[in-house]
Amino acid sequence: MSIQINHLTHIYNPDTAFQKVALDDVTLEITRGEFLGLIGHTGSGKSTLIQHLNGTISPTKGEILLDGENIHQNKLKTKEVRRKIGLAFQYPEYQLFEITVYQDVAFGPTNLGLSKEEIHENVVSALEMVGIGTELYEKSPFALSGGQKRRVAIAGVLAMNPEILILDEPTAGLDPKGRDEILAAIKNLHKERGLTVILVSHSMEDVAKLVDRIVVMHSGQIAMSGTPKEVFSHVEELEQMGLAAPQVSYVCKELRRKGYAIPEDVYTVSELKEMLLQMLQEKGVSQ
Amino acid sequence: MNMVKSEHLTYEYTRITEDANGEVHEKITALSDVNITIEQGEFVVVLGHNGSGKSTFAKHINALLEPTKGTLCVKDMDTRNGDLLWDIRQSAGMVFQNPDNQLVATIVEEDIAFGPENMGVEPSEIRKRVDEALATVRMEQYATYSPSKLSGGQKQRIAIAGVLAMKPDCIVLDEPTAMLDPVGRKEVLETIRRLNREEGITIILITHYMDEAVQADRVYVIDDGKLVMEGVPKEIFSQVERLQGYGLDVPQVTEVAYLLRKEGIDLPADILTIEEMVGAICQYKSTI
Repeated sequence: MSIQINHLTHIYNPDTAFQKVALDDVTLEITRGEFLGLIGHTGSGKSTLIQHLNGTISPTKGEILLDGENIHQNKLKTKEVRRKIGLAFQYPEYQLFEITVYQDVAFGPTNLGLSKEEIHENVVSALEMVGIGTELYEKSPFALSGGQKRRVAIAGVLAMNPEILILDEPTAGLDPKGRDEILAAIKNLHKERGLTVILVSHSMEDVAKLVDRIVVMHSGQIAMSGTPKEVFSHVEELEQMGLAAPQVSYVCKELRRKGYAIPEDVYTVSELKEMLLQMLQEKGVSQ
Repeated sequence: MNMVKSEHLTYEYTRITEDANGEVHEKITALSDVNITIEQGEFVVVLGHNGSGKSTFAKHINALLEPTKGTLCVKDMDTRNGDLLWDIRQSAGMVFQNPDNQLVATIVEEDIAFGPENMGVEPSEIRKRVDEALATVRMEQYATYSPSKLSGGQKQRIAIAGVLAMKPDCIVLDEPTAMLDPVGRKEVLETIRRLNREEGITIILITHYMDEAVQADRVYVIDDGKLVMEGVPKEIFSQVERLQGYGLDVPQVTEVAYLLRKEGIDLPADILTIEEMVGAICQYKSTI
């Protein structure tokens, strides 16, 4: 399943004093099984883009094709697309409402009109994917920790069996432990279940650790697209766009400036550690 | 002078949730015997994972909560004394995580005037305070904007200006950058640091971002309602394993230095910044 975005333009409040071009001729292809990171500062157009992907809003110009079919062609199609493309909004735990964790996750599949057995199967598998154990099924979702609440909310999206999962800032406001739990669950979904994942984030550290490809949005356009290695080697450009690279990238940049031969593909803590270990030990051995 | 002093501060409450079997009552001890003294003019960071009790502590400073046991005083004013409530709230202002939840007016300058208006300040003095507060957070040109047209970082700076207009001695900020992008975070943090350095305002910052915590004069770590660590950033962050045990992070450079030390590379344990890391590596290379 691939998503083809062709010349997508979206204008808010067109022909009024508040007219704002949120997306400006965006063309992008997302292939099956890809893990894509979407970054950009507030107002860069990334949320507008993902809202198009599951049919929440319609393009002003351009089109989005899911396996060759326009997702906005009619209401029926849009409904079908919403099942295939699951969208977990920012702060999804605000949307929890049921009495128990189980019932909350079951809400989506129940509305799809599935049989009781199918619903049960979906709920159990979704909660398992996000690492929520059976002992929490009958608990109130409001009695859980922040990280757990958010994982239950994401399970609610997964219970609809989407083929593509879009997460808008899934770690915002969480503490380091909650963040690591969510990221581990997302990584697992991509690796074990082969889900196509689109991760929207401000956190360059998170993105660097997980994704295959980064798309950088700026002023409603795609400013960069490439592997984390390619994107994070453009520290200055990222900063001009109001973004930052992981702290590790800055260390590498400084060391390069001091004349050390630091490879371009170092951008996570473990990579920097391995590289420095080799560099510092080599020198020790040779003397 | 002590700006904030807590002695044996304990806070308990009953949490009522509902599950399939009906109501569940749970007694929660959110803070347990916490002793913290914050001096006037300090820039203090409070760390702790979600649910550790750090926000509960913050709410005591603003007298939003009252201790179950023990005391908390702001400038020697006991928060249990209802007569002092408004003096305490005027001395210790509070900024919360979500900027959209704390802006009340439809025009920026009216929003900032809200606090002093409620205190009964003279209109001419309000005008002066609003202009000063806007200048301090460098938002003068947005005085007549609608807050809805501002970015997250700008909104938080307006929220800070609203507190400043009450002429506080101390500002408590509860994860003010959690919802902001990197630029917004930088704007807000620079504003906070400037208020501390130039205006001498005591800052108590609650955050999950370790790069913000390394800039503080003192760091307190709260875990499970108890004060478990206290010290300057270098003392705190050199204890990588202990912090990780409390569910916290260290800056990436500190983690790399820690991992290299484990491999037998003799780097300082208290590296907190990119410059320190680069310096330590260059020095190490030149000594071997």
